[in-house]
Formats: sequence, structure tokens, C-alpha cells
Amino acid sequence: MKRVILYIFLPLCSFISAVSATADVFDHPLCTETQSVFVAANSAMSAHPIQNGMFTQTKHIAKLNRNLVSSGSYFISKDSGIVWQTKKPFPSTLVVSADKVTQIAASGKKSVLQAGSNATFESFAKVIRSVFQGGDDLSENNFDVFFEGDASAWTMGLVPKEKAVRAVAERFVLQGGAALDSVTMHEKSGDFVRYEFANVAFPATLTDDEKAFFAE
Amino acid sequence: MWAFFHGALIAAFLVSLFAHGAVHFNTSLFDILPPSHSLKNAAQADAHLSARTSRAVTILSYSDDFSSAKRAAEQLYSLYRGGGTFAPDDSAQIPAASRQAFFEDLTLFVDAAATQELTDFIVDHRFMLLDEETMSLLENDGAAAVSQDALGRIFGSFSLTDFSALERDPFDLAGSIVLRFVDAAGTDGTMGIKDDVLTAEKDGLWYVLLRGTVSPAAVSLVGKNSAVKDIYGQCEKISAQSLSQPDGHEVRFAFSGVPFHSYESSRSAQRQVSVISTIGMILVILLFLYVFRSVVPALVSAGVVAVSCGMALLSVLLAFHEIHILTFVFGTTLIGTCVDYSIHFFVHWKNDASVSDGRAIRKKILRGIGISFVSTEICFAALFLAPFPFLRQVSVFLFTGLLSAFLGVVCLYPYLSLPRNRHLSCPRSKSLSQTAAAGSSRKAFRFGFPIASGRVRNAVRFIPPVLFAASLILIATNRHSLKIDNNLRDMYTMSRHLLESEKITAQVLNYGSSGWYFLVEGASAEEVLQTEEAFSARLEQAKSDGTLGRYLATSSFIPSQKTQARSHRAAAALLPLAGDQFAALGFAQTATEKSAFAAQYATEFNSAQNHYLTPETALPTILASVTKNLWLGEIGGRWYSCILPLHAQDEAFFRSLSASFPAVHFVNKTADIGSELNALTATMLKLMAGAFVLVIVLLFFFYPPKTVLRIAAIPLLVALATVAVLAAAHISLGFFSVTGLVLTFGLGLDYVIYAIEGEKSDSFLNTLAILISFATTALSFGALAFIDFAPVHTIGLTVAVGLTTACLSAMSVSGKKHNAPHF
Repeated sequence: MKRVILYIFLPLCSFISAVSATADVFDHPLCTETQSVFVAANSAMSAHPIQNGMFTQTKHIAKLNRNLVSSGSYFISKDSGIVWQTKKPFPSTLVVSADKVTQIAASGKKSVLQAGSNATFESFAKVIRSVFQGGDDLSENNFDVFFEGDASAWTMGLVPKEKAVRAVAERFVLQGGAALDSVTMHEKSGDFVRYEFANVAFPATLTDDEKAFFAE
Repeated sequence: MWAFFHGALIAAFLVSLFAHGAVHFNTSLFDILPPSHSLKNAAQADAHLSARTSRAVTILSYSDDFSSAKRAAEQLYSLYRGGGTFAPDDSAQIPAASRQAFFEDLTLFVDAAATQELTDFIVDHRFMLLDEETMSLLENDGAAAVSQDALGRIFGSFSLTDFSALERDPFDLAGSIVLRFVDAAGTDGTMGIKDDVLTAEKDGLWYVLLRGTVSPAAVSLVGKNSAVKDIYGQCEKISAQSLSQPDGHEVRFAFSGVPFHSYESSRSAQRQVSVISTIGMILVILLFLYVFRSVVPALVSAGVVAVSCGMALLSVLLAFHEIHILTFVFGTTLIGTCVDYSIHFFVHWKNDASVSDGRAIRKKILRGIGISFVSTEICFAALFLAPFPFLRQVSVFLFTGLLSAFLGVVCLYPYLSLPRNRHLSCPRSKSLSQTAAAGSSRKAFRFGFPIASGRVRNAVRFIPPVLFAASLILIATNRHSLKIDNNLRDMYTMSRHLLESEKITAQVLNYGSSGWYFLVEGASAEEVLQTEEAFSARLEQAKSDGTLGRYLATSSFIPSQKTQARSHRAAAALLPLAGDQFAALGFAQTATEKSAFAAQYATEFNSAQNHYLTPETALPTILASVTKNLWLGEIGGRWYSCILPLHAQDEAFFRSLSASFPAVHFVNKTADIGSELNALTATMLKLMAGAFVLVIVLLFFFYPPKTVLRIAAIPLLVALATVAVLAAAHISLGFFSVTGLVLTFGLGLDYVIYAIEGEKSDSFLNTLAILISFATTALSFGALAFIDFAPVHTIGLTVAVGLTTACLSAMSVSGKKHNAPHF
């Protein structure tokens, strides 16, 4: 039965991706020359406890050779979790907290996955938080890190060391400068999901409406 | 007669062996318990379920370092599945192939292909597996909502499911089904996948999970075939070697599962029985040597005991085709009882100057041992009337063993030549009869027995009233313990390390098993599934109320055909929307393309009609692993399944819930068997009363009414004294103590009968024989009181107290009329 849980959580990782132009970064393992830029970029990503903004998502399904494009808003709280509110072309909301994943359809129907302290989920959540928020977990302890560029425009390649996570989220490509511009997650199947961010802001606190997503 | 009986029994056993095949030595701890009364209708199904679950084991290797824990698990796995390089602890010299046969199945690694297999299965059968909410929506003009929700999920940010089958499943029906399966299978465990193994991290320790089913042959508790014994040995070696690794992290193991408990409890019982039997036998032999100053009585008696035990074993195997290992525990009592007849013979053989050969001795003792034999056999036979297979085995074992011993004494002993020097114990002394007749208590004490003076003899007469009064006082002061109560939890005490293992496993896995379950019964698989669905609806309410955490049921994954047909009918509402759905997903741009995709969708929909899934269908590995312990299938012409409530507390609520479903049986084995044992205890008391009446009636044929009343008073006093001691020891009057009482009735009556018989003949020799008999029986029966296994301990204590009372009372009976100073 735990495999079924895994089955859920592994594809769950398919919310980030990258397309071309980033393949080269995996030819550049983190080295002495790029270490300082990597540390600076990581610090910049983790500097804010809360961030929000707009996103455009491109979901590529390799088997169908099809891209599904959507857009919406998101916010990430270091303490509470991540909320993605897709608005176009079809509305839906997804809340990822420490212990569950809740999918809310346009009709209001909720699908909840209680993750509890499932180790796979924890690994996954940890990787996602690291990728979006940076910080201590975004390190060579948890990833094979590749890096190129400078402080104004950098590309980061991350290969999770955890095999269970890597089974789906084979590698991540992050691009940014002063802030994170995009995150792409490549899956083993050839699928990828790419997020491009805009209007990123770093408010000090969550609004009551935003808090409500985690309270339920 | 002796040869005929033994020859016939051996011949019958050999014929039975030829006809029925190999016999079985049962070592399962739970098999000594009576079947639950509430399961009478479904006893076979319950037995089937027990047979499956009783061989399941869970092993956790744990360490503060994940790699070390995983390596240890891999080493253990490789030993039983091959492919590893770890050198096993081969002190038992088990061939690799034999070791690999210890497990029917053993799982460590998570098979990634299994998830794809499940995905494909769900996509293929999605029209038949819709959840209740989706079906209701579709049946109530909600097809558009289903369509929109699917598009929301597909275009949503996080994908909970795989969309690679969108071209076939544009409404993402499979996604909803997967979520339902995940919910049904439960996600409250702490285990997850790390580096291809199921693992959990808790309080700084990493736990790696191995699950398996021990093969039937390897459940054996003894010898090289014991999987558990081998597992313990291998784990010990792996733990020891883990410290010698370069990283040096300590690895330990936690074990859970019935085989471990059976092994430990039975191993302990076996060890104790073997030690106690050996000591008992040695003491009895020493006693014989001391008293008779000859090896003949000891050797002959040991031979008769050995033969009687052998015959007892054959008779049980003949009657039941199996014997429980703990039946042997009770068998040790035969050492004492069988020897009694020998003692009565040899006391006369060694010392009675009035007899000139063995036949004369037989003539002299036949009436006494004959009556006692019949009365004891009546009590042993009474055990057979208990509706409890294990006790029936014990009954047959004891009955046959005693018969064999009796025949041995009566048929063979008379052919023994009398010894030249016919004086008991001390060659230099006069015969004991003469000694006792002379009133020389000092010399008598040289034999080691309290052959007392007239003063002591007079004091002995006060034993019964003193015992009676003391018993009443004990009962009065401990009356709170005086109740019929059988609590299974009191009958087995886990070893400390196994208790610790179980605690660790429970905390890490957090399955929330309550120990209860529902057994669902029906005339067909379809009926069982429909009943499950109706009952599950009530369980869903309990989930909403918070009374139930969750539950596992086959119908959560494989619905009834009725529900599958409804699902298919409901899905038809999506057909008109299929074209637009494909368009929204970008598959169809033109009206023609939309029509083509919609037609393809409709074709698949139509072809799915009437292709029903059943629990017997070949299921994907993941599903099969969930349902294998839930779906019991056809057993004896009926169909059964099991529903497991998890994280449930209120037993009474669930018991009453099942009561409203005639085909759903609530099973709480601990409580049910406790109640069953309470009922059996009452039955045993009635059997005891019946046996008592029968023996008393029998005695009326041999003794005058006044004597019979004297005899009858003794067992009543024995019962009173035993109950008093049990109450003082805070042991409730349970099934096993009452069983002990029944045995005591039979054995205790012997002493009284011998004592009464002694009034007619050489009373001293009779008294001496009673004392030696008591000593030997106390050595064997009383020794059982030192065995940890609670049921055996209780029986041992009961019988020891009962026999002591009987012996003391018998002495008072014999002392009443005799002028001869035999005490």
C-alpha cells in the first residue's frame, strides 16, 4: 500500500520543468569558481520567509507530445507551505502543507492526501522547499549541484540524491539573477514542467485568506 | 492383554499413517486456545485467515545511519532470497537453498514497475471503478462538473496523478480512482521509500522494513527447519558485524509476528518441560533407588512410563493426526501417575512377606489400583467432553498413557521374580511392617517418611477440619479474587526483548490495528462484496464521526458487479462531452477530429461493458498485496472476506454495528475466546460434578455407604482448599485451573481409595505407597507450577495444592480406624 502512496507522491513532483537551453548546465559541476555565486544565489532565494507572484506553467507530456499551458498566482511560506492557484484556462487550487496535499477543484470538490510523516513525502516536500526557497537544504548534501553564470544571470542544475525523489523528479533546472526567474523539473519519462515567475514580491506576513488555506 | 492393546494401537497408527499421510506436530501458540463461539458459522474462514496471518512476519533493521540499516536489511534479505555476498552464520549448517525456502515471500525492495502496472490497470478499468461521489454527480446531471474538475486538475499546478493516458482518459477518471485507492489503502503510516526500500525515520533512527511470510515447513519451532531460530542467529551476526564496518554504526533488529511469539513461548516451554521432566524423572529414580535399594523397580517403572508416553503419543496422532507440543507438557504428568501403580506393586514386591510371587501381589493390589484407575480414567475422559480440541488431545494422551501403564503393571509385573532381600530401604533393618508394627517411629524415619507416632497420627485426624477452616478463612479474605474469569492477556507474557520489538514495530508502522476485524460471509463473491459495500457505508459514517480512523476492505478496491455496472452506466453521461474535452486538451482542433476522438472514447466505453472485475481477477501486484489478507474467497461452499478497522477504539460500538448485519461477524479473538473460556469453565465445573457423581456411584459397588461418604468428602475438601489457594494467589477461577481441579479429582481420589483399601490389608505398606505416590506425582505435577507459561503454571499449581490436600486427607482417613502404628 505504501507503494500506492509513492505512486501518488512521485508524479506529484511534476510541477516544475525546464526546456532546452539548460541542458548544458549539467556539464558544469559546482566548482571553486562558481561556489561563491551559487552561495549568493542560494542566499538570495532564502532571504525571504514569504514570497508570492504570478506564474506561467508549461506542462509537457512526452508520451502525447503535448504542452499544457496554464497560469495563475502562487505564494510560498517557509513555515506553512506552498499554494498554487491556477486561474487559466481552468481554475483549481493546490495546497501543499507539511502533512497533506489538498487539491481543490473549481466545483469546490476537495481531494486530500494525508501524508502524515511519510518518508517519501517528506523527502519530496523537502526537495520542493529547497528548490523554491533555497537555504541550507539546497546543498551538496541533498543534491548533485551544477552551476554556471554570474550573479546577474545564473543557471543551477540540481539532481536529487534521494533515489525515491529522483525516480520522478530526475533533475531540476533553476534560472535567475537577482531573483528566481524559472524552475523546470524534468521527469524520467521525458515529461517536464516549467514555471516562469513574474511580479515576485516578498511580503512580511500572509494575509488572512492565505492563512486560511493552511488552516483547513 | 498388554501385547494385544499395544500391538493393536501400533498397528492402527501405522494403518492411519499409511491412509492419512504424515502426522503434524503443532507448535502454534494460538492453537491451544478454543475457537471463538461467535465464529461457529465462519470458523473455517477464521481458521483460513489465521493460517495466512499467523505466518506473516515483519522485521525492521534500524540504526542511526540509514546506509547501515539498509545494508543490514539487504544482507538479511540476500540470505533468504539469494544474490548477496554476506556469509551467513552457518553453525546450523543449513544449505543456502534450504534457507531460501524458509520464506514463501519476502519483500525488501520496492518495485518501481509495480506503480506503472497499477496505473495501467486503473486506466483499463476506469469505467467500472468510479467512486461514489463521481457516480452521484454523473447520475445527477453533473457531467459538466466532472469535466471541469478534470480540466482543473490537468492544468493545475501540482499533478497528483499521471496524465500520460489523457488521450484515452480525458476526464482523468483514473486520477480520481487512484486518489480513492490511496485513501482506502491508508496513508497514516510512517513508512516511505528511500533508496528503493521502505523506510522510516523516527527519533534519530532509520528503520528499514522487511516483510514476509514464513513457509509452513519453516514455522517449525525446533531444529534446523525453524526459520525464526535462523533469523535470530543471522540478525545477531549481522548486528555484530555492523560494528566492525568502517563506519561502525550499530544496527539492531525489531521483530513482529506470530511466528516469533510462538517460537519464543514454545521454546521456553520446551526448554522448561525438558528440564523439569528430566529433573522429575531423576528424582523419581533416586527415590526408587533409595526406597527399594534395587535398580529393578526404577528401571521397570521407567520402562513402563516410557512405553505409556509412547502409546499416549501414538493414540493422539491416531485420533487427531497431529499433536500440540504443549500436550507433552501435560504428558509429563504421566510420569507421576503411571508410576503410582508401579509403586503399589513394588512396595509389596520388596517388603510384603505375605506374598510369594508377583501374581499374589497383583491379586492383593488389583482392587485398589483398579478402582483408582477407573476413577482417574473417568476424570481424564471427562476432559474429552470439553469442546476444545487441545484439551481433547490431553484427554486422549492421559487416558491412553494411564491405560498402558495400568496394563503394564497388571499384565507384566506379576512375572517379575521377587528379590532375595525383601526389606524396604534399609537392608539391616527388619521389614518395615515389622518395624512399624513395633511402633518404632525413629527407625521408620530412617526411611525418610513421616511414619509417625500415635500422637502424630491423632493429630493427622485434625487435618481435614483444619484445612476446611483455613480454606474458608482464605476464601473469605480473598473473596474478590474468587470469580470465573479467563483473560487471554494473562495467559501469555512476552519476553522483554520481544515486547520491546513489538513496541518499536507498532510505533514505526503505526498501522493502528485494534486486534478486531469483521468477517463478511455470503453465498457468492458478489454477495460478499455487496454486503461489504453496505457495511462500508456505515463505516464511512463512523469515520466521519471520528469513531474510526479508517478501514481496509476488498470492495474499496474491487467493487461488487452491481456497483461496477452502476459505475459504467454513470460514466455514459460523459460521452456527449468527450469531443469538447479532447478539444479543451488540445487533441482535437476540428469538428471531425472531435468526432473521431469522441467515437474512439465511446468504443472503449462500450467494450468495457460487462467486463467485471472480481477479487479473483489477476490484480496488479500492489493491489494484490493489499487484498491478499482481506479476501478469503470460497471456503466450504461459502464466500468470505475480512474488513480491518484501523485506529478504532470503541469495541462495543463496532460489535453492535455488525450485529445489524447478519452476514457480518465481529471478531475480537481476545475477548471472544475469553468469554468462550468462561463458558467452558462453567462446562468443566459441570463435567467435574458429573465425573464426581459417576465415581461416587461406582464406589457404591465396592464400599458401604458410610465409607463412600468419607471418600466423597475428600474431593470436596480438595476443591475447597484449591480454590482457597488460588484466591490467595489472586488467580481467578479460570478454565485451566478448573482443568487442574478435574485432574486432581481423579488423582486425589486414588489416595483416598488406597487409604480405604489399606484399612483392609497391610495399612502401613499402603500408606507408604501413598506417600511415595504422592512424592512422585508432586514431583511431576507440582513441577508444572514452575513453568512460566501461565496455563501450565496454573494447572501445575492447582494440581499440586489439590494433591497435597488429598494426600493429607487420605492419611487422616487411613488413620481413623487403625490401631497399627503405621504413621
